[in-house]
Amino acid sequence: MQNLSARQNELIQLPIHSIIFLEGVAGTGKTTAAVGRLLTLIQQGIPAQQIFILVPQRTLAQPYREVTNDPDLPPGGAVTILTIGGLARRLVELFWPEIAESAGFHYPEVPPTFLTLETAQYFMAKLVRPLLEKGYFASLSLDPNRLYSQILDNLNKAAIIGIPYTEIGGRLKSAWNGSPGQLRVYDDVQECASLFRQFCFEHNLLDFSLQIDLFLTHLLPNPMVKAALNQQYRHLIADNLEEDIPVTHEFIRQWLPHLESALLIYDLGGGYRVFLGADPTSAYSLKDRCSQKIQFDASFIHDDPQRNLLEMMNCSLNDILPPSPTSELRTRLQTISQRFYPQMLDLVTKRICTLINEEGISPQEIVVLAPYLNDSLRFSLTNRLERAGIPVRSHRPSRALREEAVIRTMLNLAVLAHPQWLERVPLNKADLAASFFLTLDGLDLIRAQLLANSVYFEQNKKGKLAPFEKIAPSIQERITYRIGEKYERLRTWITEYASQPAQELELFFIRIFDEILTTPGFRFYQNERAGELVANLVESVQKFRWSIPPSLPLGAAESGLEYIQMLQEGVIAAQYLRSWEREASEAVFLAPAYTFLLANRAVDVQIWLDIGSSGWYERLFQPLTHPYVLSRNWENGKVWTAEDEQRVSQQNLSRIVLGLLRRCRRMVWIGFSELGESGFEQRGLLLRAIQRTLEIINQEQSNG
Amino acid sequence: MLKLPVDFTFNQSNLQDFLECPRRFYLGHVRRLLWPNREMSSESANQRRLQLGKTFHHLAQQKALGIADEKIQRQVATQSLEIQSWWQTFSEWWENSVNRDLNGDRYAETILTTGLSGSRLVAKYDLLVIHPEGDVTIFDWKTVTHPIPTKYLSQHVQSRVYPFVFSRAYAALLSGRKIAPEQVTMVYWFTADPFHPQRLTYHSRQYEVDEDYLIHLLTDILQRTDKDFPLTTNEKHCAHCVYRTYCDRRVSDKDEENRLDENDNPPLVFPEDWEQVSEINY
Repeated sequence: MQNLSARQNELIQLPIHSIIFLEGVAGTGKTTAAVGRLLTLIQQGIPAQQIFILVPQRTLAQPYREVTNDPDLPPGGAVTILTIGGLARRLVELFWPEIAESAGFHYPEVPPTFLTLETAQYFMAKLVRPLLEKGYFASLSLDPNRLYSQILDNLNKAAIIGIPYTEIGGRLKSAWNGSPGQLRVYDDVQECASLFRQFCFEHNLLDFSLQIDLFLTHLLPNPMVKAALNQQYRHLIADNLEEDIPVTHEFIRQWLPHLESALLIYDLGGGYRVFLGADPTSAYSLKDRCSQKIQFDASFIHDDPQRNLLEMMNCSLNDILPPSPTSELRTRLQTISQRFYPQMLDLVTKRICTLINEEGISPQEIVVLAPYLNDSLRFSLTNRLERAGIPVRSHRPSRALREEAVIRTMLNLAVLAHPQWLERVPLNKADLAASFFLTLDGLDLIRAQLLANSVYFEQNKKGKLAPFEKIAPSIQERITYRIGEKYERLRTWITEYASQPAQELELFFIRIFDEILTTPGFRFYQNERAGELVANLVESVQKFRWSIPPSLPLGAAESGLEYIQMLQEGVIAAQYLRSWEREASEAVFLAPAYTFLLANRAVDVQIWLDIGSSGWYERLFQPLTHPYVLSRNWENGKVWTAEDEQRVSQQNLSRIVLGLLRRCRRMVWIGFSELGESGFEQRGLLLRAIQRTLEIINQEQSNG
Repeated sequence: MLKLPVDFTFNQSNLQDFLECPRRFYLGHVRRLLWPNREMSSESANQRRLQLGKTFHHLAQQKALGIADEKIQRQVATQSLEIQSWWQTFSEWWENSVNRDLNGDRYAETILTTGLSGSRLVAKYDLLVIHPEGDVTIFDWKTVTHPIPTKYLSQHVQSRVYPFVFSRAYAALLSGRKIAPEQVTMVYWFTADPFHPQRLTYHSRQYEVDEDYLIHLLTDILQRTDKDFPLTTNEKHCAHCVYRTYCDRRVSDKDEENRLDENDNPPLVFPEDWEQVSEINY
């Protein structure tokens, strides 16, 4: 490893048998030092398979993953890199026969079914829907899918702070000081959460919360599990502890006395995942358990002006008297200002071009950040940058399958092949025309509409497609016989399929893709994008079907229909990782601010958009849950007030702004329009703080 | 020079893909192209076999971890008849072997890895037994329908990769103790013939031959460009390939039936893709 500081080398060279707590703000080289320590352990003969690396989310494992793949590492075992969720799942799978009965599952001899967020939401919907009809949650106007996910979120929060799930409603109620009607809502939340948990025990279903619960209450105390963990792993590196959940900290606390070495890393000023249960306070309490305490202070990222900018912003955010701005500061914080949003985006694009083409900044050293990255902003800016010839990649972690035209086409074809579904999943001519257009090569939209109008009759609800030969000759000619021949191949295949007993939905998708849509003459022929999407769809259907436990059998046709309905209603988003994961990284990066913060990297230039938005600091509207009340740091019984809300908003804003600045080497540009994206005048805490900072800089400059 | 994904490592499964069809290797492991195919369907015979194999390996790992037989047996009783039958013979074989082949320190589902030709080569072992006298047995559970004769097994890339990687990386398990390749035996245990495992003994000469072979193979792959991964000329390899429609190598149902009748020529392909090592499981 090269260019390590003396402090980093000191840490790396500490005796192997050390229990170390390393803290420091972002950019002080903590992870680099930890990677160096890992290499040193291996080079000094510690078997790699005895080393356990724990991270709060998989993106944060990247530096460790890269180094363990280095061909120059000596031969040996493999380092284990896991999140606490991954570890819990792995242990539950392996030791299920040891714990299932005592944990209270109704079929301990049958392996459990692990639920994804989506399949958990599906079962929650099954249980809660009948209650909604009975008037539960009647006082709320909330999309049912958000309602299901917030009840699940409550179960997760209870599990990760280690309280019984039966206390969720009580805790939420005791902190509430608004209208009494909400108390009834919390009772409903508790009832639904309890119902869900009971259902999981009855059918061996394991959502995230139950996996974590089992991990804490049944696996960790189990002597066989303890022995297996202690024999296998002797050395621990836990990074970004401040982003991890209290259960992780509890696990480490219990494990530390049995380990030969540990390196616990804490990012001062972090804790961005509080909404997901991260608990920096609980993480910091581990410091007392470590014999060596080290702090890194020197930033590898900041020069003096950048440090000055960070101090100025800190003062503006917290109403502290600011230091004098350095003369260079004006170039470190600049604005791109316009009255209207689209004009501002034009100027942002122009600025990025200048940075790359004239100032020689590499595209991957530029990030454009906003509190949320909605489709409209993503499209508008990506489009502008691409037109300017600037490589760009955007990050939204996932995208719902049903938003893709290819997937809608596959669903439409599935409905045609299962006409009995039409009663519950109607198909109209416009959708059918779009499906023809997307599948029959050489067909344009106008003729696709003509074809759909001529062969499909919605009102008879039989879903049958008429043969091409039955179309009036003049229309046949307009559509062309060449298209007619392709249409006939598709129609015949569907008709034959529909005449047979239904197969599993995934097999239907595979077969129609394999036997028709990828043959010459159809648009999916060697179409990689379509292939990727359909493969994702098949996987999603499979996961859904596999989540149905043997105790709740569903036939092929029923499970297929259930899947399609759930997908269309948005209960199952069937989200998939977009191909950005495989895209080249040499591009300007568009991302929500939190995503960038958790990518653990610094860049030369940051461009902040939507600074008037309250999304930079306000928590999401979640009437059924509360990330601060369902926390170990909240005193049970205390009432949550408007002052508390304001305090955490202010904390969040400071944390995010300072976190971003600590990850910026050279300059921040503020993209500002008087009227925001939706046409309203911009205001907000961040805007005010930036204005204050700019005023001081400008004043100082005019004085100087 | 080939640009591989940052987390790519070589293993017996992707090397076998390359040997059977360079194009399959390229599409699957370099481009990581997702392509829907019949093998994905749980109604396909291969997928079903894969699921059975996974269940069996999982149970074997639980047994090696020391979970009580009666607890595992209660799980087995809820599984398919095939699993029940496999497990019964496996348990009998295990009992008979405890004081012989299984005598020693046991490591289930262990990953070992070594650098080679500027890349990493990884092997995931179903079970490693370090015997008290210092010899080592590598066990690999095979749930294919027919046992595979030794002459075919010895040519399979897995039979080269596993003892070779072990001979390089054993120190990780043996705390610095040295062993010679002659002390390593690879045992393929077949559910289809449980009492006649196939044993392949290893030796120094074979280690050298394998080292040369693997260096050449990896170098050959790494030196190629994106255009140097042609389709196989042996279309039999396309029968179960996930990319057969992408490559326009469609197999009719009749071809499929004929292929399944060819018992005289046992397949060298082990459809057990859980052996593909996933370095990081979350």
